[in-house]
Amino acid sequence: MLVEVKGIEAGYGKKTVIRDINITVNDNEIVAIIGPNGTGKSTLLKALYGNIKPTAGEFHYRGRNITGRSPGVNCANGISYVSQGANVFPDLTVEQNLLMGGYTVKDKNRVKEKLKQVYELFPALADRKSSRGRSLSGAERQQLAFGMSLVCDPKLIFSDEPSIGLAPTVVKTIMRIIKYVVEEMGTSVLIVEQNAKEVLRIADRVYVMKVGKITNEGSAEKFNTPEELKKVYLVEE
Amino acid sequence: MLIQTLVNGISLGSAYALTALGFAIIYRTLGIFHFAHGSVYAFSAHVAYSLITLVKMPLIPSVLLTMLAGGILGMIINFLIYEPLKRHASSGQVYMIASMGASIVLQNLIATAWGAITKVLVLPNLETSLYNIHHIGSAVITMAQLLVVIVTVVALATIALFSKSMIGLSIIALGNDSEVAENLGMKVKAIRYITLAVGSALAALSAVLVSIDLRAVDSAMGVPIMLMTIIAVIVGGTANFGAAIAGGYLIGLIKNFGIWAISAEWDNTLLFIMLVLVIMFKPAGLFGRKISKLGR
Amino acid sequence: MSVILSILIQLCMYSILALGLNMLVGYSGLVSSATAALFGIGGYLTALFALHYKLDFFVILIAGGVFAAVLGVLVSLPALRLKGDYFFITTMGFTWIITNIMTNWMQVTRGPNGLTGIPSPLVFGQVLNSRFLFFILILIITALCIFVANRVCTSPFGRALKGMREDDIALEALGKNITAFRVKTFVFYAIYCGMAGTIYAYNMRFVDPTAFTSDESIFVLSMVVLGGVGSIKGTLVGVLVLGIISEGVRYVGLPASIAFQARQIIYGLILVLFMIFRPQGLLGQYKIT
Repeated sequence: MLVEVKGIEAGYGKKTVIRDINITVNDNEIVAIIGPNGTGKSTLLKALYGNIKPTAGEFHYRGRNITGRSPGVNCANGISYVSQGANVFPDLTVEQNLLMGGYTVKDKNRVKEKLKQVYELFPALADRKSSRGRSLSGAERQQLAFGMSLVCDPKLIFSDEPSIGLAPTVVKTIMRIIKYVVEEMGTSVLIVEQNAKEVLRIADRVYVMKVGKITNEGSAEKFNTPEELKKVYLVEE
Repeated sequence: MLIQTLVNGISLGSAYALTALGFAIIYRTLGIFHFAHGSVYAFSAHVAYSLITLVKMPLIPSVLLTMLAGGILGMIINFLIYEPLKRHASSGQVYMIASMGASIVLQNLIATAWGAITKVLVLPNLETSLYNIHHIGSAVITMAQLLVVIVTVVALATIALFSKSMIGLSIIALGNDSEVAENLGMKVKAIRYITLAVGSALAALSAVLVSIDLRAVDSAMGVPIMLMTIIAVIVGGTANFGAAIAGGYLIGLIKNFGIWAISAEWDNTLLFIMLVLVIMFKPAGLFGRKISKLGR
Repeated sequence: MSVILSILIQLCMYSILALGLNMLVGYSGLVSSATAALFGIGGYLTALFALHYKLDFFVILIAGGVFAAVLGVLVSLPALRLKGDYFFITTMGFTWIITNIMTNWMQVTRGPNGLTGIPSPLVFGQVLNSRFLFFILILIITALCIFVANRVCTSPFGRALKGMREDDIALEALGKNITAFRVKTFVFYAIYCGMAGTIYAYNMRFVDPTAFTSDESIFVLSMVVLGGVGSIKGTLVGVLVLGIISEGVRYVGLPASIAFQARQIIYGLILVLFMIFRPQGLLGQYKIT
């Protein structure tokens, strides 16, 4: 087991947003967390990655308890994070952005190798090496954000709502890219996603989150039916 | 007379451009309106005065030490004021007021330490060669003035190179998106200190050059420089660092043309009116592309 | 005796200045560096009126305030729509322009020499020569200013302003025009500054550019910051404390220039330390955001 999350509870200030979260992720797996808007899915990723500190629970990665470890250390130790909105550095070029992705990598030759790999994975980026981040399209930015997250050689990638703000065809492309990344690079991806239909195409296992708690889980096939999807989005109170 | 105005304008503009660039680096990266930048400039000028005139140190080590002193002062200000404010998640106006307070304290500390009167900067050995008059067409220029321009160009080129290094890129990245920077494991606190150091060192360099040119330092010299820096950065725009540099040169040229066309007393009024007009009608600056981050 | 009266009159004057700035900062959240400029406009206008026309004190008082307000609003109106940083710099620019005009417009302002020989004020047709009676007059005016400020703060207008400073997005959603509120608070602030200028002119009997520099603006700002942003009581405490410090430093026996530097360092430190450790000031409830 790559990841074991037990009883995580977190929030902002006095407000607890998520509680009693239990999740596992295996090697080479795509795990999706789906659910309606505002249920705390992004909060969960932030709590795991260390942007906010969990108030209870544990996060085990490769057998080690790394609960609340800071983002920087996580990035240097095999976990990376693609934020919501696929934020890249607008003033830097594609190549420079990728170099920043390798900030924590000590061996600069390794960084060069990873950059080559990323360009092979994303030929669109290879064409735009010297373009500034701000001139990229939404799809290109998403690819760049993923590319940046790959330079530090992660075994686990957190992806926060990759489909946000993208046109439907582009969303399909992004999902295919994520699947491709997992297959080619051997990483696992934990995706938080509102667009259940699209993410179920690539996910292996699924957790459903509602009002800050996990309410259901299972294989992707189990949820890929209209009835199940409807249940996901209807808030049962 | 036109060429003379141009010559003076480019020399003065170079000094403004360096200072404005230093300010812009701090502003774009950290979002701080660093009012104390002018005081760092004044402090550096006084350090240069002490080294060159009192200690009689040779020129190049003096310049380098002055830049170091300026950079260190910038980092001290960050340590004492900006980092604590960051821990309290203070707003931009709080930073501004605190920075303003700091600049007043610094200015008066400088006056207490060095005296409030104007002090003459004397270069023991290079005296004659630096202040010889050379001719460019019908205009006159001293070596010291030329030095300002040349050193500025070299410094700007160095900064341009620096901006491609990992540290330089990380400074730009931090200014773009501090969250992504943190997520990628960048040492954001260290980058903040380096930013203040680099910005202040540029102001220090400008201060030395100008002090050598004018042969004088006085404790209030930071105030007009801060004025000009603010005008340069706002009029030029904060869209990118080039805009700040262009703004500096523009202000230097306009100031001299103002002196030539109107009269010496109203040159500042002209600039201030320009400032107010730009803020009112083109807040992104003359070379700006979109509404800048000013106004956090 | 006359010296003490002069100091007391100055305290009253600073109270009015600080109350004006407090209204602006505390209720619309905008920091202004134009205090000295508006103050100076009132002072110079008073000097010009008093020297060339036989106008009643109250007429000049109101005229000074109104003129400062009109001028101030004209320049600030576009900037009032923008965010705090821009607004502050616009007020700085405004102050520089005014200072430049004071120093260079020789025909009207007599430049660095200033306007001297301002006669005693005419109150209801009578020449008021007694300094003591002048002090009583100013005291009454100051008390009125405090009263009016208090009424404004507790009025529905004041309550709306309090709402605005807490969450201006919410208030905007409710349909209230924030820019209109900001203009109104700025007018209040400018009128108070202008009136303080009138008091200054009649108290000192001359005006010159050095009295209206940005150092003065900072001095008044530190009173508001120390005492408490948004609190009338706090502002008055700030005036008192800084007035005492200011006079106190004078009497400690330092040479004049060192005394000046010491005072400036104290004001600067107040701004820095309060921003870091207690942004709401001693008695205020509102932290500058």
